[in-house]
Amino acid sequence: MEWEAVIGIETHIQLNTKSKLFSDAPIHRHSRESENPLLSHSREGGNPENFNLDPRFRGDDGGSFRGDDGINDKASPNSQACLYDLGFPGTLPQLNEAAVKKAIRFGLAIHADIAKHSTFARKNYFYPDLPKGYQITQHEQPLIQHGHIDILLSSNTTKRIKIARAHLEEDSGKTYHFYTPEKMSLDFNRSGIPLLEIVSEPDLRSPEEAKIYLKTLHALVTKLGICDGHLEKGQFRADINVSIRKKGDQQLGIRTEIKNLNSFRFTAQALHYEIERQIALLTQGKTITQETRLYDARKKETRTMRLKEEQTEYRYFPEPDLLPLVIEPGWIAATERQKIALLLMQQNASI
Amino acid sequence: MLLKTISGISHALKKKEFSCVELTKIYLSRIKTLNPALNAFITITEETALNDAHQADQRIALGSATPLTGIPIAHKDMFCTQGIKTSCGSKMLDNFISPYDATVVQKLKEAGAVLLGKTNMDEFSMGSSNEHSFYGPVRNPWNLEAVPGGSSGGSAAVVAARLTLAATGADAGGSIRQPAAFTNVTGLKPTYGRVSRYGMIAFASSFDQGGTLTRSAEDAAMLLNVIAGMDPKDSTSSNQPVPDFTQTLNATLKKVRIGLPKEFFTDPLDPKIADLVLTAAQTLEKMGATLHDLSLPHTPLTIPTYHILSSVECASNLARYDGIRFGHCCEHPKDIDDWYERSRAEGFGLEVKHRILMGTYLSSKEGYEDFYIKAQKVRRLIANDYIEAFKKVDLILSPTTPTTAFKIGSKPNRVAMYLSDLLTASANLAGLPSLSIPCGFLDNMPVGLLLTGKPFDEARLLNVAHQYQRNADWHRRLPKEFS
Amino acid sequence: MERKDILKFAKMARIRLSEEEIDSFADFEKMHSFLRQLDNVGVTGIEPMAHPLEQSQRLRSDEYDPKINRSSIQTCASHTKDFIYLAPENIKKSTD
Repeated sequence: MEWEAVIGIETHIQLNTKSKLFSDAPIHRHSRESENPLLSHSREGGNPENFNLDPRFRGDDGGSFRGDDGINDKASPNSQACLYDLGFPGTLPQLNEAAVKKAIRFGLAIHADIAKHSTFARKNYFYPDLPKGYQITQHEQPLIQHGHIDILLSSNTTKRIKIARAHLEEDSGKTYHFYTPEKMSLDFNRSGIPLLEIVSEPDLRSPEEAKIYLKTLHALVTKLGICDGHLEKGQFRADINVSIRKKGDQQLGIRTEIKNLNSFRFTAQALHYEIERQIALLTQGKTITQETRLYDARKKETRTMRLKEEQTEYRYFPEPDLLPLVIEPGWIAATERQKIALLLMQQNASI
Repeated sequence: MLLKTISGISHALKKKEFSCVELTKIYLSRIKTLNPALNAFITITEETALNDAHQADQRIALGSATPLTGIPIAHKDMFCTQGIKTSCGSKMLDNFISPYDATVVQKLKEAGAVLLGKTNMDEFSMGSSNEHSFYGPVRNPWNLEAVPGGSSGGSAAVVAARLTLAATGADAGGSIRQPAAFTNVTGLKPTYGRVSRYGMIAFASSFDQGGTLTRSAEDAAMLLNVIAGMDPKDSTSSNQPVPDFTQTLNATLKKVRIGLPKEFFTDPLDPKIADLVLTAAQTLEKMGATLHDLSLPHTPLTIPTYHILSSVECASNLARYDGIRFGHCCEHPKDIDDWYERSRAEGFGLEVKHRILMGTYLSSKEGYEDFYIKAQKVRRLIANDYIEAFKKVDLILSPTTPTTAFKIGSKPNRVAMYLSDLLTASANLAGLPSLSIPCGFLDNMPVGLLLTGKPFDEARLLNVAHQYQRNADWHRRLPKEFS
Repeated sequence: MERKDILKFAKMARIRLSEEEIDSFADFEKMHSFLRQLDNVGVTGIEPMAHPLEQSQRLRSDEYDPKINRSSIQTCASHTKDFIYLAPENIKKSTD
C-alpha cells in the first residue's frame, strides 16, 4: 500500500526590531559572550557581573550550557528584561510600529490579505518562563491571512504552498536547568521579543518538500530584512504537524506535532522518523495518538512530550490592554510595494 | 484649616499663612491620633511627606508652585509608588516595594503634592465594603460599625475624616463613587481612557479607571487637571484633548437637560434615598436645569454582565502572581506546581479566589460562549441605552447606592454584596464619566447623588456638581468624632 | 457546579483550596443562577463589545531604553542568583 504524508508547518520567526514587541527593552544581537554566567566561559576581571562558574552547570555536551531550546544566549541574564517583560503589576503593553511594518512587509511578499482591522488576544497558561501568565497573541482576527509561497521542487517544478495566516505575538523567557541544584533558572531576556507566527496550510507532502519550504521561507524573510534568520539563535523555529493517509484518500489522518525544530536538516530527519513511525503503527493495525512530540537529534528519534488530553486549555479572550490595530489604506506606501516586488524578483532569480 | 478646600489651602500657602511643612505636620498628627479607629491607611509615609513638604515650601518661595504644590494627598494602595510598599490590600504584595511610579503618582509628584500615605482597600480592588483587605476592614468615620464602601474605602474614609485633603482611587464598578456616597465625599470616576492606567495594579482592565476622592467638585477639577491626559505607556488612554476643568465650573445651568432614568429609582432602592435625590434634582431645576424622565431599559442586567466580564479579566490579570519575580511565595515547594498552587493559595484572600475561579470557569470552553460572549453583547446593549439617552439629555442623575452604608459583616452572601454596585457599574460598562456628590443624610448616614455624563464630558459633571455645592452644604459636613 | 468542577478550575487557576474554602463555594450555584439572568436577553445581530474606548491602537516607535536596573528590580524577588531568577524544577515538563 502506498502512504502519503500530509504536512503543515507553523514557523516562528523573531522580527529583527531594536526593541521588544510591547516594551522599549533593548534586543541586543551582538552581546559579548562573557556577560552571561549561564555560559561556561568564566572570565577574570573586575566586572561584578562576571562569575566564576561551578563546573556542574557545564552542559552535558561538555562545552557550553544550554537553555531548554538548546541555544545559548550571550547577553547577561535579565539585562534586557524591563518591568513589562517581567510582568510587573501595573505595567502595560505598547505596540512596536516596526514589528507591525515588518509583518506587513511579509504579508505583501506572500500576496496575502492585510487585515484593515486586527485584534490581540490573551493566551492563558502557567509556565515559569511566561511572566504574565498569558501570552499576547492574535487569535480571531490576525493581521495577515490567505497568502502563498511558491517553492521549487527538485524535479524543477514549482509548487504553491498556501499560507493560512501570519500573526504577531510575544516570545517567552527561557528556562535553564542544572545551574543550581534542583532549581530551574529563568532568564527573561527573550521575553517579549516580537515573533511572527507563519502558519502554512497542510500542503506539503514529504520531508523534502518541508525542508524546501522552510529554506524558501528563510531566504524570503532574511531577504525582506525582517528577520536575521540565525537558526542557531532560535530566530527561526518550526513546529511541524504531520499525519499520514492512504494515497488518494481525501480525509486527513490523526496528526502529531513535532515542536521547536531549528535546523533544516533535523526537520527532514524528524519528519522521516515520524512518518516511518506512523506508517509502522498503522501497518500493525495500531492507532496514532494525537500528541505533541520532541525530536532528539542525537538519537534521531521523536518522542512524546505531552498527550492531547494533557494540553492546556488556553482560554483565549480579547486583550483589554490593547485596542484594535487599524491599518489605514494609505499606510502601505507604494514604494514599499515596489521594494518588495524587486526583492521578490531577486529571490526568484536566485532559486 | 480642616474646612478649607484645595484652592483655599493653596491660596493660604502662597500667602505664607502657614508653611507646607506645618500643614503636613498637622495632617500627620491627625493621622496618628485618628487613623487607628478607622484602619484607613496601610502605609503612612511620614518621611516622604515631610520631604515633599519641604520641597514644596522651597518651590513656593521660588515662585514655581502649581495649584497642587504643598497639597497633602493619599494614594489608594493600588497605585505603584517607587520605593514605597504597594500592597493592593493583599498578602500577595505585602512585601512588594514598587520599583517605579504610576503615571498618576508621577504627575501629582511633579505638581508638588505631598504624599501622606497609601490607603487601605479591598484586596486587588475586589469588593464593595473594604471588608476584604489583608490589612483588616476600614471603618466608616460616620459610624465606626459601618463599612466605608469599597474598594477605595480607605481613600474615602481619610478624606471624610479630614486625614488628608484629597485622595486617589480607582473605580471598576463603583469603587470610587460608592464609598464616596457612603462617607459624604465627592468621588469622580472619569471617562475610561481619560486617566492613565499605567502603574495602577489591574483588577479588570477594560473597566478600571483612576479618579479622585475629594471634599468638593472644585477640588476634583483641580486634581483631574493634573492626572488627566494621554499617556504613551497606556495604549487605552485617550487621545482626547484635556480642557481646564476649573474654567467651566461656574457655567450656567440654564437649559442643561438632566435625565432621570426610571430604572434607577425602583426596588431595591430605599425610597427615602430617592426622596433626597429628587430634592437635589429640584434644586438644580431651580438653578435653570430641566428635568426629563427617561429609560435605560437594560439596567437590570448590569451586575451579572459586569461580574462575568470583570471576573474573566481579573483571573487573567492575576495570573502573573506566581511568586517568582515579585510577591509572596511558599516555603519548601515540592515542585513547580506545588509552588504555584501554595504560593497563590497563601497569598490571595477568599474573595479573590472566588473571582479568579469564576473568571477561569467563565473563560473556559464551558463558559465562554454562553457567558462571556453573551455578556460582551449585553455590554453593548447597555452602552447603546446611554447613547440613545444622551440624544435627549446632557447628563443623567440618579442615586449612587440603593442604601446607605451597611454594617460590617451584614451582607448575607456574595450576590447581595455585588448588588451594592447596582447603580454605579453601568457607567463602567459603557466607559462613561460619573461623579458622586453628597446630597443629604438618612438616619445620620450620608447619601450620594450620582451624575453620569457623555464620554469625556467631565467638565459638565463638575460644573453641575460645583453649582449644586454652592447652593447646598452637605459636602461640608463633618463626622462628629473627626471634626 | 460540583466539587470536582471546583477542583478542576482551581487546578486550572493554580490555587490550592482548603476544605473550608471548597465549602465556601456552596454559593457558587447561587452566583451561577444570578449570572444566568442573561440567558433570556435577545442579542441577535449585536456585535460583542470588547472595550469601552472607541479608538484604534497607537504605535510606539522602535526605540529602546537601555537603562534596566536589574539589581533594583530583583530586590522584589525571593530567589535569585547571579541575576538569574530561580524556581523549583518542574517534575513533569510541559509548555510551548
